[in-house]
Amino acid sequence: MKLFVEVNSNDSLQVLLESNASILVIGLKGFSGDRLYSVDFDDLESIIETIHHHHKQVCLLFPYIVLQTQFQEYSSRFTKIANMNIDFIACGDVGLGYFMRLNQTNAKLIYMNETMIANPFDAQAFLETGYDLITPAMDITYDKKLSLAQKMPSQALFQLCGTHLISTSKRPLLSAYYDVIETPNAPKHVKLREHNREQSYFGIEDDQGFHVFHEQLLVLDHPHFLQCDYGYLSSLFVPIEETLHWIHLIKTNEFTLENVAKSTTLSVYRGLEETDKGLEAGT
Amino acid sequence: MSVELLAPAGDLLRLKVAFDFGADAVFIGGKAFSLRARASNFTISDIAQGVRIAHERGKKLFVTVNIIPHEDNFEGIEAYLTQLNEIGVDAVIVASIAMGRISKRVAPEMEVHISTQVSAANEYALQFYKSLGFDRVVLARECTLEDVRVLVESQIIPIEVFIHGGMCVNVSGRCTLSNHMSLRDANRGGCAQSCRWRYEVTDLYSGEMLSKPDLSFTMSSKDLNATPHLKSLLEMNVASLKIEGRMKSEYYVASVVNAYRHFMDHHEMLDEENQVAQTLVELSKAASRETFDGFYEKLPHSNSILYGVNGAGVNQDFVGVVRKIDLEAQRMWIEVRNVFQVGDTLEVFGPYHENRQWVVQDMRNDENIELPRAYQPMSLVSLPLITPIEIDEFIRKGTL
Repeated sequence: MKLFVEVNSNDSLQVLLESNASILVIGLKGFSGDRLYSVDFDDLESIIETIHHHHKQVCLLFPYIVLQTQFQEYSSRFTKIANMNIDFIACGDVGLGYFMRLNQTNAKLIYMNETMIANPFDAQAFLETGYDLITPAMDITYDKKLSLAQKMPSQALFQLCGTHLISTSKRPLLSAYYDVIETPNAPKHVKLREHNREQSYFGIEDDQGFHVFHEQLLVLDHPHFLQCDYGYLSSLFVPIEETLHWIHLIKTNEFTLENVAKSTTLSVYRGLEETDKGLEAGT
Repeated sequence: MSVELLAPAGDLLRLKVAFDFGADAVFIGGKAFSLRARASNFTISDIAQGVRIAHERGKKLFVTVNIIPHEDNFEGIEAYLTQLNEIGVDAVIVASIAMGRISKRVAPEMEVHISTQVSAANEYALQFYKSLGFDRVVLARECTLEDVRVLVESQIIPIEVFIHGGMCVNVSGRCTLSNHMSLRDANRGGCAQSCRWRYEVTDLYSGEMLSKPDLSFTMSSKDLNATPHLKSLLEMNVASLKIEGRMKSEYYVASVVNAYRHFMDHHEMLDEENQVAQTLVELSKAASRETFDGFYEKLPHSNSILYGVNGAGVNQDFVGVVRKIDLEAQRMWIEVRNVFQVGDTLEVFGPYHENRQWVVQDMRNDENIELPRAYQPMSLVSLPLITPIEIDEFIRKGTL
C-alpha cells in the first residue's frame, strides 16, 4: 500500500522525508488555509524537488471550493502547476480538477471531497470523467466504506487514520463571534462543545473560512482497507510522532483500533454506525 | 430572454399559490430521493397534477432528486425518473452526477439541473457539468455578484442563483454536523440544523474558556434576502432567480413570490432605491428570521449570524384567505389562519390588485352572529365586502 501522509509544518516535513510515508500531502498558500503545510507558489518547485530527492511522491491538495474570481486571479499559476512535476493533485473543487485535466497535467488526479461520493455509481462516474482516484464520503458507515473498498481497491482512497473535516464554511465565524463579544484577538484554533452534549469538536478559522473537525481519530483497520493500493493519513491535531506510529503499525501489519488507541490521547472510532435517523419521509 | 422566477412548494396548495402570485416555475420534492424529509412531499399523482397546473398556465415544474445518495438509495431511481418524464416534469434537480446521468439515459428530453449541493463556483465546474450533458447549474451561494456576472457572460450553461430564503452557514453539501451530532444525514434529507445550536468555545491548546455564558457561539445563519442586488442580477440575465423554502407556509410563498414578481416586472420603470425599500418592506411581512444579503457584495461577517436567538420565530400576521364573495349581501368570507378582531387594520394582497388596507368594523359567523374576534383556524367568518377583491387573495395584519 502506498501511504499518503499530510504534512502540517516545515518541521513535520523534515521528519516525514525520513519516514516510510510514500506520498507527502502539502497545500498551497491561499487555498488550503491551516489544514496543511501550505507553501508559497514561488517555493513549490523546490519543495517538490526536495520531496522527490528523498524518493517520495508529492500530492498537492486543494481542499476547498474555488470561486470564479479566485480562479481568474490565479489561472496562470494553475496552468503552471498543471505542468509541474507533481505526482498527485487532489481537488475538493470539481472545476479545478477539470481545469487540470484540460491543461493535460501529468499528475494523477484525485477527487477529494469529503461528502460527494457516497456510492460506487458516483465513484465510477467521477473516474470516467478523468479522475484517477476518488475519496469516498467520510460520513458513510463503516460497512458501506468496506463495500466500496472491496469494489474498487485500486481507485478508492480511504482515510485510514486521523481526524477529519465535518463541515466547512467560507464565513469567518470565529472572528464574527469575537467581534460580537468584543474579544477581537481571541484564538482561532478552538474546541467546540454543544451545551447538551459531551462530545467536543475541533474548530479552525483560517483564510479559507471556518472548519469543524471530528475530535475522535477515525481508524479504518479492516484488512480490506489495508489491502487497497492507497491509504491516507490525516495528521492534523496530532503530534508527528503519532503519525509515524500509525505508519509503523500499517507497515508491520499491526494497524488496529486498539493499537492506535494505545498511543493517543484522543478517543478513537471506526466512523459512523448509522446515519439513517429522521429520513423516513424523505428517502 | 426573460429571467425566470423559481419558487418552492411543499404541496399542491402552495404550488398553486406560487403560480398565482407570479412564479414562472416551481420546484417540489417527491416522496423519494429528495432533501427536506420533513416537507410534505408530493406523490407521483400529486406531481402529475402539479405538472398539469403548471403547463395549463404555460409554466414549468421541476422536481428535486437532490440527495447525495448511498448505494441502496439507487433502488427504483430509473423507474422514478422515467415516471417523472412520462408525466411531463420539465426538469429534475440533482446533486449526484450518477443520478443525473441515469436521468439523461432514461429520459433524455427531461432537463437535468445541477443542485447547489455540489457548490459549483467557477467556469471549469460549469464546463464539467456541461460536458456531462446537463442543462443548468445552480451556483454555490458563496458566489459574489462578480462571480455570477462572469459565469453568466461565459454562456457555458444556464445559471440559476438563490435570491431568498434559508442559508446553510456551511458550503452546501459539505456539512455533516447533523450526521455526527444526531446520526441524521444532512445530505439525504435529515438535517438536524446542528449549526443553529449553541456552543461553548475553548482554546484548543490552553483550554481557556473563550465564549461568553450569556451569549454562546453559534453558526446559525440569517436568511438570504438579495433584494439590494436584484436589479444587478436581472441585468446580468441569469436564467433563474430561486426562492428557497419548500417547508414554508402558503403565506410565505405568496408574500415572497408577490414581492419579487412585482420587482421583476417593474424594475425598468421605477426608481431602484424606492423599489428596493418597498420590496424589503413587503418581504419583512413574511419573515420569520432576520435576513442579510448573502455573499453577493462581500464576505458575510457577524451581520450574517443569529446570536442569542432560538430558531425561527412564528409569523402571525397572516390572518386568512378570501374564500367566497357574496355580492348580494355585500360580504366576503375569510378562512381564518391567525387571530384578528374587530378594530384591527387588515391588508389584502394578491396577484391582481395593489394592496389595500381597511379597519374591520363588523365580523360574523355562518349563523350571522356578530363576533368580536376570529380565532379558530380554518373557520369561516364574514366581513363587509371591500373592492376590488378576488377569491384566494390573502389577508394579513396592516399598519394603518
